[in-house]
Amino acid sequence: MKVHLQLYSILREKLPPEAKGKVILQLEEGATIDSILQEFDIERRVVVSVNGKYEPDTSRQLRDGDQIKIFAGISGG
Amino acid sequence: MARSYNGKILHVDLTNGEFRVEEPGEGFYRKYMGGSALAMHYLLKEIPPAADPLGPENVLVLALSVLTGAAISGQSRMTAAAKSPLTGAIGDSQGGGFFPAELKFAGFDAIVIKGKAEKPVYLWINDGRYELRDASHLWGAITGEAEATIKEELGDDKVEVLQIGPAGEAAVRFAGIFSMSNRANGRTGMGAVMGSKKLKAVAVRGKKRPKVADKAGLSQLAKWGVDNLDDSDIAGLAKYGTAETTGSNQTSGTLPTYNFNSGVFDHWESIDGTTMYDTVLRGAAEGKQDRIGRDTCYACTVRCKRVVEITKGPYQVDPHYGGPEYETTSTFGNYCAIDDLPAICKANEICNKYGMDTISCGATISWAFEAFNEGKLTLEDTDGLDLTWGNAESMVKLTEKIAKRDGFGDILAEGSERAARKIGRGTEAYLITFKGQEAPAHMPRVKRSLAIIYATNPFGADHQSHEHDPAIEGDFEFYTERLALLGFSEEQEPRSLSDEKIRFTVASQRMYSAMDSLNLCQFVYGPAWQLYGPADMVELVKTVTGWEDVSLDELQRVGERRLNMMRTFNAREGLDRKDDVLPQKLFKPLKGGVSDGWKLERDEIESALDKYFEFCGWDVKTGNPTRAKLEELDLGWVADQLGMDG
Repeated sequence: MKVHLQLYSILREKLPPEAKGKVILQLEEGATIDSILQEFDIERRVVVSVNGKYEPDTSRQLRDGDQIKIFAGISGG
Repeated sequence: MARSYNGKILHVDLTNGEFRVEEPGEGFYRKYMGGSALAMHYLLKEIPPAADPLGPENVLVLALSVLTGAAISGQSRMTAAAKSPLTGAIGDSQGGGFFPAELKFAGFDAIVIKGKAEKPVYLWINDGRYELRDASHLWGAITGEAEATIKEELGDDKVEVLQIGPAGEAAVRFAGIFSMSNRANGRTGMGAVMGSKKLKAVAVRGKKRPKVADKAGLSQLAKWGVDNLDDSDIAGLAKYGTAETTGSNQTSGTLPTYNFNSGVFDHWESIDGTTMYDTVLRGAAEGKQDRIGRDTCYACTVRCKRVVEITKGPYQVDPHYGGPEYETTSTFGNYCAIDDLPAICKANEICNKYGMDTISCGATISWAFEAFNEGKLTLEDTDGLDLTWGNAESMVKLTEKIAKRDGFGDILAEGSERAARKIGRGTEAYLITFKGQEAPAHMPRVKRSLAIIYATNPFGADHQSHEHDPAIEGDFEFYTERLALLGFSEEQEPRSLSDEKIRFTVASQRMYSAMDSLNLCQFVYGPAWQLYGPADMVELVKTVTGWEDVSLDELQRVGERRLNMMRTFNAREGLDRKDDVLPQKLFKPLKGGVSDGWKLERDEIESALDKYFEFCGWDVKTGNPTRAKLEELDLGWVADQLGMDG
């Protein structure tokens, strides 16, 4: 399946600069948000939305066509 | 023994132009450590009860800590404190830059300012020498111009200038105190106090570096920060600024929009930190913004400050006035449903030129926007400005009118609470004020411990006075080691106000209070996601001061001491639990996004307040410190001064 991923702030530097944080990922069926975090070696605190909705459960299985946004960012400030 | 502090406090009486240098002993510095706690010592001793905040009897303290000027990130900060003309309670604000370190190098740990000068003056401190100089020619000048003139007449470009702008001169109740024309001690109206004393500026220059007890140890700690910044949770904040948090706040429904009626803003991406980095930072067009579009404070490796330059279009912005923080993109942006980043940068520039707090200014404007959109204000009231949600042009014009106290701006320059009182028509329902101070851009209906802190904080709503809920909710797993040092080992449910959450709120408030006394940056140091954790903070104090037996417990007590002094100051002014109230709006449901329908419940808040006061060791009925608590904190003199019963 294919999902659309957008990484923000410091996380977008996981991708080449010209991508501006956007990439289409080819994932195996059953892949989860955690699968993406592992693929990009993201071990820090993140906030994730799937199809515009907050998703605190990173073990959630993804579906073909999902739009995923991942934010770094602190909780105060 | 080498000392990391000067051991000198400069007292200035502007009424008669007299100076006095006090030299407190080590016990004084160990007890208060500096900054806000040290300031409270003088404010309690020197301000008479019921003083007019804008009268000569008010006292303004500018204070550094035993750490200021040491060569490590996050230490060049200063407290400005006095009785607040915005709240009528204790006022307190923190600011960074190069001025704090330079004041330390000039030979003083704090300046205690009282009285009122006959004509405008500025204070010049040069390597331990001090004098008042005429500032009549600077009165009315915007910050950038006054700063340039002072440097020119002192013949030294390296002089650091702390000053008020025309808004402080005109007693705008949320006027701040500024250095570098872009670093603000913004909150609680300290600029109006300075203006009421006819003190335009303080200029400093010095060569006396603090004597660090363990130079090698400090160097090692500083290097650890440099080496670990890129892998830390503040790496994004460093590069993309505090507005990098816009997207995560939007996603979790805690981005205050339409004056706190919603927690989501559809156009958030137009104003977030990543967009700012790509579009308006100086050098962005050539890809040089990392080098010339970011700025820093003395000895800080983080470089989180924004430098915006816009040379085309309706909102041109001079990089001398810096760039907006998340708080500013929020108050002038999502609070007002405005998605025009250059307009927000322009409002930020106006605030820095004229010397106003961007939080209270933007939030006061968003109150006016809501009142207009609800039909309670008309074009006749607003001098013809159309305050329909999202109108960026009107927002920028209104910001300037407030700075100049022009027309409708004169009403708003009093702050939203006084404006609502004057206008009436039910506009009080749109307030988001706590003790008269406008709320920063974090939402109590989502991060519920904020409801308790905003309500009880002695100087009104403040977002930098404790660790927000996520650290002990969903993010807990990332910070277990650090939080264990504070005594917390259990993750709490989202949006809970459990006893354990309240205990965490109290403990982390004490830590933030200690940081405001040590004058440490709360992005660089803190209990959870910050670059350095609690153990590092203890190590820093040991390394710099040579106080080998200092502990986290002792730092927490310094924080607790400050809070007790502040709360007692307020008690003396007649404040108590009845003043720890939340705006009625927060008990109504949010609209849209993940936080749709979320609201506070009055019973739940009252129970949480009971628990909060209990954990603080204060009287639950009044919310005020007891003599026993003050004595426990070695503050018996405060209880004596108030004539408290034994």
